[in-house]
Amino acid sequence: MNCSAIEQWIPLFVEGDLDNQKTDLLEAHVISCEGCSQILVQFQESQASLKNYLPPSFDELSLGQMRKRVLVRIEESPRHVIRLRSLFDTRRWAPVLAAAALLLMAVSLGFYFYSGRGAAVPSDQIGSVPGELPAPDAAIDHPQRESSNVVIAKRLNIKKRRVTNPVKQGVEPPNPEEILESPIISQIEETATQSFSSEEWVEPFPDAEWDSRFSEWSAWSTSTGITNTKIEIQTSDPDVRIIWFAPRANSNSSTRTDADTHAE
Amino acid sequence: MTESLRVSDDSGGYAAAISHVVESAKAGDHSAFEQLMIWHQHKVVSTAWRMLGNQEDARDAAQEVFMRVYKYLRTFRTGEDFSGWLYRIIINVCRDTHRRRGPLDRMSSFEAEVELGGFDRLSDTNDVEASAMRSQERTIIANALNTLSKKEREAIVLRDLEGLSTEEVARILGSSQTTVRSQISSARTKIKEYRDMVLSRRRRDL
Repeated sequence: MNCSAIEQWIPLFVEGDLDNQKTDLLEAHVISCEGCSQILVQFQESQASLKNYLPPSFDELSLGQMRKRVLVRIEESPRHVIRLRSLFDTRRWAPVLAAAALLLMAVSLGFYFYSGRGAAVPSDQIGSVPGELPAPDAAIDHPQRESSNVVIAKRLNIKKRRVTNPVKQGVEPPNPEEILESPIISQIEETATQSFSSEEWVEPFPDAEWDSRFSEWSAWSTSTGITNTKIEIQTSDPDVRIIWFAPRANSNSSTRTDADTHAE
Repeated sequence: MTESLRVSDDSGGYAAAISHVVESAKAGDHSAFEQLMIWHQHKVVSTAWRMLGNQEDARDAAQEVFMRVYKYLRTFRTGEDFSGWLYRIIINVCRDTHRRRGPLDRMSSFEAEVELGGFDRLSDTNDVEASAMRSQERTIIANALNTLSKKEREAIVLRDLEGLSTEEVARILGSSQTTVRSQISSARTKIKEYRDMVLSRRRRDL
């Protein structure tokens, strides 16, 4: 054994805090090493000096006065007052409060995630709300919300579908792929073949262009027999897309006015 | 009810006596509580003195310790280690006192003790030279203890001066035994080095 390791063990060895194996090694070492043996003696003297550090004799009179003061304080603060104080002791209630806070947090998070990420963001706040906004195809992602689905149903003269929250009813939410294949959506998807690209929308079309576009749509929808149109407008913000479902207009002008208003 | 009781006695008699008195004190018997104080006052005040370094603080701390014992006695479960529970309260009160008082001047505590006659017991001896030597050693140890960190001092007082086992010290301080061993090793080394330094300086001055 080298001396530096032994020197580290000596402070524990002097009071029997070293394990048996190290004790044996240390005892064998100090027999043959004068330096470590000397250090051991110094530690033993230091410990003996420490053990002699006895407290002063506190006289009975002062201790009696101390006891009396304690009893007076106890009398002055009756037991029920102490108990009442302990009722408001935050350390006592800390675990309960922590558990309540965690439960509240869990319920809030659950409500947030399972209710379609909370209330819909008001239209005037879209773009100003930090964090993730609903995806452009929010109507597909969140079929339980009374939004585009209801509008679609009315336009197609199909009986209004009952909107339910599958999570609240304890059933698996529908697969988005299945929703895409549902009759309502598929009819709409068939009509949603005309759209602007974002580049085009950066600079609004001149009136003549609008007229031309809507004339094309009108002719196309008449020829195909499709009665409704879905217009998707991708704004400059990639998170915001305006989706508008429109019935085929009787005249181009009225349809165009609606579209203009909506776009604005 | 003023008979003494060795608080370090681990026998069943001690545990039974403590249990009986604690139950009476819990029920509101003030004389039983006073008996608890009588049995433990020397232990409380001497431990507090070793932690704090002067009599006045030790007496104030002891008073606060017994107030807390009374306040939390109903939380003490029968059969639990009363001595360990009491040590935990002493440690907490001394920590609060340290926080309130701030760092103590290294020389002040022992000098104050001498002025207050705290070591009268030692000066009773006729052997003046031996008394002076012991007084020197006590000064060295008192000042050496003031060089320790708070944790080291708590560990060394409980282990080497109160004579508790490493396991008991770890339980009282809420640490692992490894941590306590490390603290007492460091504390013993610092005390020894401080003592070596002072003694060698004195030898040089002679």
